[in-house]
Amino acid sequence: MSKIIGIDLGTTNSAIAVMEGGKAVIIPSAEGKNTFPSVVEPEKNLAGEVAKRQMILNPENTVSSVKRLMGQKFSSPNVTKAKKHAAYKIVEGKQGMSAIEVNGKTYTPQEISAKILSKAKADAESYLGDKVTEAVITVPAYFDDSQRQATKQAGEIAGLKVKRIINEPTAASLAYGLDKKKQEIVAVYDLGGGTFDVSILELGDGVFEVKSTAGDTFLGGDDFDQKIIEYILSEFKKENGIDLEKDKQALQRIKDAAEKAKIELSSSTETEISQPFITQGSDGQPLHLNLKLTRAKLEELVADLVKKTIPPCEQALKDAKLDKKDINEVILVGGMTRMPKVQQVVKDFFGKESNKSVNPDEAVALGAAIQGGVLAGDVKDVLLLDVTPLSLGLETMGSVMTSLIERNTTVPTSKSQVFSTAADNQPQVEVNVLQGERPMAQDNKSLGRFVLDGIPPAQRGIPQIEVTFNIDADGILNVSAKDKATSKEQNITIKNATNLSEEEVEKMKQEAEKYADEDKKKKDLVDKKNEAETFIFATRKALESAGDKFDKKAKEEIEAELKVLEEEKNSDKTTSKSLSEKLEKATKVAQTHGEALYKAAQEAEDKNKPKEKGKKGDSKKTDDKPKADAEEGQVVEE
Amino acid sequence: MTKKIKNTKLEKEVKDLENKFKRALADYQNQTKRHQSRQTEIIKFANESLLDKLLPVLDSLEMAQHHLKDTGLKMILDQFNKIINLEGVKEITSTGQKFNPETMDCAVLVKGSKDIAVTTLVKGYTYYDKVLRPAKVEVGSGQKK
Repeated sequence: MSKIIGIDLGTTNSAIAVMEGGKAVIIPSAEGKNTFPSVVEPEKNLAGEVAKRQMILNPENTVSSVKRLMGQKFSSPNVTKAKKHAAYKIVEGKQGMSAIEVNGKTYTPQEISAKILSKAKADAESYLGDKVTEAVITVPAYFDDSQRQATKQAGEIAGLKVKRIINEPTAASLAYGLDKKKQEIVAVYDLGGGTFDVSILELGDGVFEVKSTAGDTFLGGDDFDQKIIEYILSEFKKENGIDLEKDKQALQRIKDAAEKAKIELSSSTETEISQPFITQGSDGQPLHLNLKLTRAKLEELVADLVKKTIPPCEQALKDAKLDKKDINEVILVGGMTRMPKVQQVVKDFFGKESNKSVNPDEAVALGAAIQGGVLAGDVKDVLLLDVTPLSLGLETMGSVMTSLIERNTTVPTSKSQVFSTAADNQPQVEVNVLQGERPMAQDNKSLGRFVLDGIPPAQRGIPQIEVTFNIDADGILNVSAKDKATSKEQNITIKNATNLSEEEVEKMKQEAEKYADEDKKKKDLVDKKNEAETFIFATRKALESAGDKFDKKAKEEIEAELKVLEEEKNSDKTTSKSLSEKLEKATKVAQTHGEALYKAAQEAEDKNKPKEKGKKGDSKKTDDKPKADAEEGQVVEE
Repeated sequence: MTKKIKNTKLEKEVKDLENKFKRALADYQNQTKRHQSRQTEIIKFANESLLDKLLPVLDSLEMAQHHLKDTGLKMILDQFNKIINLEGVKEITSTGQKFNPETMDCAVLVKGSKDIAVTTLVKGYTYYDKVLRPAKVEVGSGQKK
């Protein structure tokens, strides 16, 4: 069965999404963008980016914002208003409906919309590698039955069976996962490329009721860009006395720079608009455009545009007979809501922080795809897979936390890692299951601990203990430890390993950030200590096995260095740096005698080997050289 | 009787679950296939965004050269162009060509031969066979100059 795609058929831009692996994802357009312009040239059958590029050349034949005409009578005030803004010809079609005339041929708005939908269908097919025949299409909440019918027909013309028409704010709420919550009143603030809508929704038991909707059909991102362009032009004129508006090449560069600056100022507080050699002065000398634009300045420039969104919000509340305080949640839709000033104004108006967890350009299409997934029949409820909010791991030598399952891993999942012992003849290991982002064990939350005993006596680093973390779909964590030599196993089950309250997660994440530096120092020291210990152990072992085959004086020399290193390691005042220096020195001394020592150890071992193996009677392969650092980690010493 | 009803219910549930499972598995396999087929493409186009960001710098260098006509700067430009050409970036021939919306973006309409890109305001570039940035052009309206 082919998939049902979700289409956000926008006034200025459109987007497509589909359910994949239980999650809604955006389908990129053939041009590689997440949205594409809702522009059509019906004669040459161009739609999207390509149609937009030839718009200036071919304005009478290029149709944009056709959504404003969908299902509208020619005589309606909306059409009269649209006529003022459109470069193409809007005429009266059959039964007094509005239509578009291109090159003497009449098209219905449905036919034009169908070309946008055909492009969406083709791009989706190329992405999915499969035929697409069914879709869920979104419309503004204020669309009446005739406008909805027209949208449905557009889908059919494009060869898409429209499984359902849903409201844009409803789709956005779905994308935000608000259907999972109980009774709620939601305000959806949608500021897109060319239109502004605000809707008040009542949600409950999977039912979405649009209580009211208001907006401004001619307000959007393009107006914001224009303000910046005007500002740049006036600043340049002030400084150089040259009007760049007349220089088309310069103007083109400023247009691109203005949009870029607007986007940059959403994440940084200052940006530089730098266009060297933009033009030349009257004396023939080159002139450069170098202008600093701060976020504050931008906000000042667009203040009146942002303010214009407030009266519709008031209107929507009034129509819904609700008060600001009745709103439980505010969600943001449309690319312009990325602007911090817009977010601030919304917050000031509704008195609460808005929800911004979903990409505002994509929310509507994603919601439509989710609806498509639900309609696919077999998915009664959207199957939401959980993720682990924090990393899960265990405590290893030196009280270090070793993560096995990183945070944000989708469950169910399982992971194994082989550990070993930290001391010779260690009979048991304790597994301390930890949750958190901090490097040191004691700073994380301990979920539980258990002991695996009965480990046969062996050198440190030799036993292989396989630790497995397994989280099932319900978030239940099972940790098991198994001694590979004896197959002896121990385990623990922890319920709700993924269920932390939001506050808890936030607190732990913040702590992790706050202590990052300090933690790193602590962890470095522990790592260094472990390294030193391993070195001391390995070297002593080599010296021991070399016995009298090795030069006595050299042995004493090395021993002395090892002693110094050991004292440093055990000192309370040691730091990663000082320990590192001592370790380096000891390593150097050991290395000067390295070859001789290695040879001596080898000879001695060759002689002892058969005997030792027989004595141990161990079926498992034993490495002759001490291999303390060979395993991936070491379970904490008992 | 109740047992039978229960069984039908269970059977339905099993079927539902089986369906869900198969669907998830299919999604996963398709994703893997798509990932494999895209891998070469991903590697090929990994540089795309970086090259796209470098183009305005190239524009500025060219503007500088247009004004300064400096030999040293010309050498720098040649170096720059050589590198991006080696990476698969090619300039779109636009001036004097028939307007093509696939590779060009009409910024303004001017007097001149109809549908011909009279001047190039911002050069366009392709990356392998993909349009990295369309050429911003002035297109002739058919009205004589």
